[in-house]
Amino acid sequence: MDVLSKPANELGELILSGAISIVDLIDKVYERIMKLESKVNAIITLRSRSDLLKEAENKEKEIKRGAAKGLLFGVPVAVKDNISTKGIRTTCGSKILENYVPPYDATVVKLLKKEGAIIICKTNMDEFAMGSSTETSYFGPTRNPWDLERVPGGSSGGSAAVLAAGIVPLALGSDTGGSVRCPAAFTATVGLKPTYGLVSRYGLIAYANSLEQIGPMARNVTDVALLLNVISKYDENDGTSIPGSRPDYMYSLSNPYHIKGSLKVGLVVEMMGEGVSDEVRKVILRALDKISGEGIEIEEVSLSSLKYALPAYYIIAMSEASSNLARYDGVRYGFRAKIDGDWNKVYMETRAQGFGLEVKRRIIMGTFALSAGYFDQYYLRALKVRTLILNDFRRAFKKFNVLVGPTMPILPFKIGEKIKDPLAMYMCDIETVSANLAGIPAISIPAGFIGNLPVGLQIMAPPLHEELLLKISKIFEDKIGLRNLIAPL
Amino acid sequence: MEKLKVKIGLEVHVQLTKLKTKLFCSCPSDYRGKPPNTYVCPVCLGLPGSLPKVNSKAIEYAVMVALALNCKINRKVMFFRKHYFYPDMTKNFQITQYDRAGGAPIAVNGYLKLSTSDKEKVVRIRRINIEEDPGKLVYPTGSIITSPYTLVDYNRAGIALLEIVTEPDIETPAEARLFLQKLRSILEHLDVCDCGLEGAVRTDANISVAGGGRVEIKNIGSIKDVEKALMYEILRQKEALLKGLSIRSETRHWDDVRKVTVPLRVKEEEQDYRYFPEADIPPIIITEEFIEKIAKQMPELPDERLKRFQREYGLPYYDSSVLVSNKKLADFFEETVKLYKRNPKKVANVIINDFLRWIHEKGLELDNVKAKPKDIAELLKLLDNGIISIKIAKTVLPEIIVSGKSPSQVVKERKLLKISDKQIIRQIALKIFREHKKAAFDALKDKKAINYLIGQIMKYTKGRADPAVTGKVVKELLTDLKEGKLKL
Amino acid sequence: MEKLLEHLSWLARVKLCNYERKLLVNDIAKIMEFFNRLGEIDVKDVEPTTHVIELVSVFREDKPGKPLSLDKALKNAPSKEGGFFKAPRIL
Repeated sequence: MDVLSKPANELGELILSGAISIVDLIDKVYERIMKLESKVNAIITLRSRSDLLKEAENKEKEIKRGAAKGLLFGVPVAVKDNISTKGIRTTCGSKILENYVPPYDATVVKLLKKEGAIIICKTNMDEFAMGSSTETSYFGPTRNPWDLERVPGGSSGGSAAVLAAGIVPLALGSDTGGSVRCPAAFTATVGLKPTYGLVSRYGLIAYANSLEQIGPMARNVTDVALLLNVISKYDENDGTSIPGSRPDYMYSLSNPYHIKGSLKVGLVVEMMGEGVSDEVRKVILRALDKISGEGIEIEEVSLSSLKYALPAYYIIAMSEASSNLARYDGVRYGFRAKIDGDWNKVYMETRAQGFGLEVKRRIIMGTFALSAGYFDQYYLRALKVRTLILNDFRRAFKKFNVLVGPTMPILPFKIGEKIKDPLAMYMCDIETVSANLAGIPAISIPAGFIGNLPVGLQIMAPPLHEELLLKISKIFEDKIGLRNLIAPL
Repeated sequence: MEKLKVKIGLEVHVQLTKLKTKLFCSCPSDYRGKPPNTYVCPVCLGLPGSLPKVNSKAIEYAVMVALALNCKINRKVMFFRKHYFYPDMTKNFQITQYDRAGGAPIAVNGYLKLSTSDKEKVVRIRRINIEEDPGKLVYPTGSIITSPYTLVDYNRAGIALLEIVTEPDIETPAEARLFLQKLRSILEHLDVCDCGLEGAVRTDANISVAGGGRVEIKNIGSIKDVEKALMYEILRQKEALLKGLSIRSETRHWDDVRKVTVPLRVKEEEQDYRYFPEADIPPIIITEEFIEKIAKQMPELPDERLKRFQREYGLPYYDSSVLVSNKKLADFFEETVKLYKRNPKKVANVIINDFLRWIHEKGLELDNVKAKPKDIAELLKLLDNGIISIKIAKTVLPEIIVSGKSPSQVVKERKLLKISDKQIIRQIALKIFREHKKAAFDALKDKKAINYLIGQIMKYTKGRADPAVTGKVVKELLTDLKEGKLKL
Repeated sequence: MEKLLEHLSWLARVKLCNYERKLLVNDIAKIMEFFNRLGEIDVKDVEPTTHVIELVSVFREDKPGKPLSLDKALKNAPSKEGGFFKAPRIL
């Protein structure tokens, strides 16, 4: 258990120095999964023990040869199951991809491998990342390690749960409207959604492609920076990848207090208003109290267009989803319904049996928002609202270094509590979607607890200001004093 | 029946066959004749997670075509998704361009001038889109109706296409043919498309007669068939109008076996393509410098070449226009002239009057003709040097077209050299005179009989006898006969 | 509303069972109301944002790469025959 609770940045050094055997480490990871997985259900596909041990042995040989290198050499990592892994099935939490084995690695997976990381498993998620609770997975809901009756948040709930359960120190999630930050908040872990275009999306199975980014998740800010160092790279396979080199995010954390002048933090009033539970508000205000002072000024700021962020987000996300999910027709890959009939009939039936209810709901609504006669009223209007939100953020960032608010408006809720009411579920994303609409980086760090239920603090920065965002997160993490938390299981 | 007003618009899909890779991925583009599904990758197969990346050369080619068609080139170009389900689609949407909803295709508002015998005709170009080709369906029984399942080959999926859309300015099927011929020649001069390849150019034609409904004929494979389909459709619609029926807007399919158009069963609601911006491809900025650079590199286009042919080779307008209507033909002509400089007009005559006729007669395309420009030049030289007669030349031509042998080789093998030796011809003539005694005596007073005798000599020598010498010999023999110097 | 749902289910090629139809007819109405909140905000003269980070397309060179092997291309196909993907009949 001791090795498993180590932060990744320490673990990596211990491995390279020979202080920790990779084989032992992987064995422990495997044991812990065997012990906890039946309770948590965080994993869709676990690589076989023999495969993992073989990889560990090979890596150990490399260390002995002195050939070992890489930022994550021998470090176990979990990958969300919507990120393509060559030779390892990638289901997106859906029946329609139950047996799909990609013939290629996502760019981020290539980068992980290049730095020596060991991919342990593919983690559970809401079907096609559509959800905020990891309940819509075809493979069953993931449970929150802090309270097994409750959801871990979503859609990257499996990735958050393996962190909180102390299985691995690092995980990849994806964030379309909060899917990294929401489960981070619900599990007292740290999750970052980078600037749109900072991390390659090549190989990330699209839900809403104009909004989403792959994001690093860990149990502390430093490990998030480490994982971001690995996955953040210009990728010529992704037309939306921002060209140019990336800063060394770990290096920038080495002296986090080195920020010019005093730090101006804007507390977004729209994010503390209606719909935010008193408990959450209390924890956030208490955390901000700890943070303020010593050159950190916190002031309220209003971004009035945020009131419209949620419907704008859902119109755009559902529209794009209806398009991105059109390809699942059972001809080239994936599930096909076993019925006789012409292609229309077989497609209709394949998609009826292959998709879950929430996916169908979003495909239908997205088809509606794009259809003739409604396009201007819904989709185009939503894109214009997006412009207004962008402008509001630009204005706010002229005055503030970062903006803060709660990550989630409520505490982790009970499994089954919201699944029957789609709008209630959508409301969970009210704090997170605006960062996706604006393409800006946003992070969730632990702010505190109500009983054993975690609350996350969200921090947002201007585009491509991940360095600043991580520095500030590190300062806040120090001041709040919550890091490397593992749920008692 | 009075002449009814016909309006025709064309949508031409042109594969950019000269690209080495597909539009959005680096799969090779020469998929023709390759085993199915061997030219595919995660991107063109539409595998989950794959992303498109635009081929720079495709943009260059599109700009070249846009300039050649006098279009306005948009400075900020966007890609859109067009949604419809079909088994030849790998994503069930096509990445294309759109001119509404904030979209901007590569080029708009151009025109193409056509020269017909009596007037100059302008066909306006509405827009040019860059888009991807779908895969190919194969019906195991050979028929879409009886096949119990469908086989799909995605090698073609993702091949770069230009969709060139005209305004409904075309008034006759012949004009449609002229438009397509000229477009084809332009594309070949630009060296962006080998239009002769199967499926490289596919046309949708829409037509309305006398203000009736707009009928769209989908996916016509050849220029000839576009003309035929339109003629068929005009007839069909006129007949319907005569019967007092109204023409409804519909989509029809060109059946190139039966040479008729047949209605396609399309559900009305299927036409909602739900266009929206392709977020995976950021806008493409076309700079003034880029356009200027391309404009400078533009090769000679058919119109300029036509003028040059008139100027440089002294060819009449008609000859020049026939030659430049097909780039390969024009190239063939110029190659030949290089080897036979003394008389370009003579080269043009042989190519237009004889060469083309034989190609047509043998059912060939310029591509699979074996004869090379040097062969035509050689043939003309043999003729000039009196080695063969014009008649022989005309029999040699089809053989070199098919066999690829040189003219002199054919002449040698088939012993086709011209006979101009007076002694030999005299011997042959004597033999003919003796075999046709009556004709010989008739010829003393009847000109027709003289021609008959000459004809017999030609027949005997298989056309090899020099006509001038033969005429002279026959005349001398007849004089001898008349004067009694010759006994038959 | 039921007719609209049927149309959308056809456009999206997703068959819906009776239970789902009942549920979704209800949901659509609610979600549309939720969407309609955007009607409150003035978007006159506002340009739509189609690409959130202002990037210009970076092109790919026209240089051929290696395609997938036939084996890999067909590996995930639910049905195949002689190197082809096998799809349902058209008519």
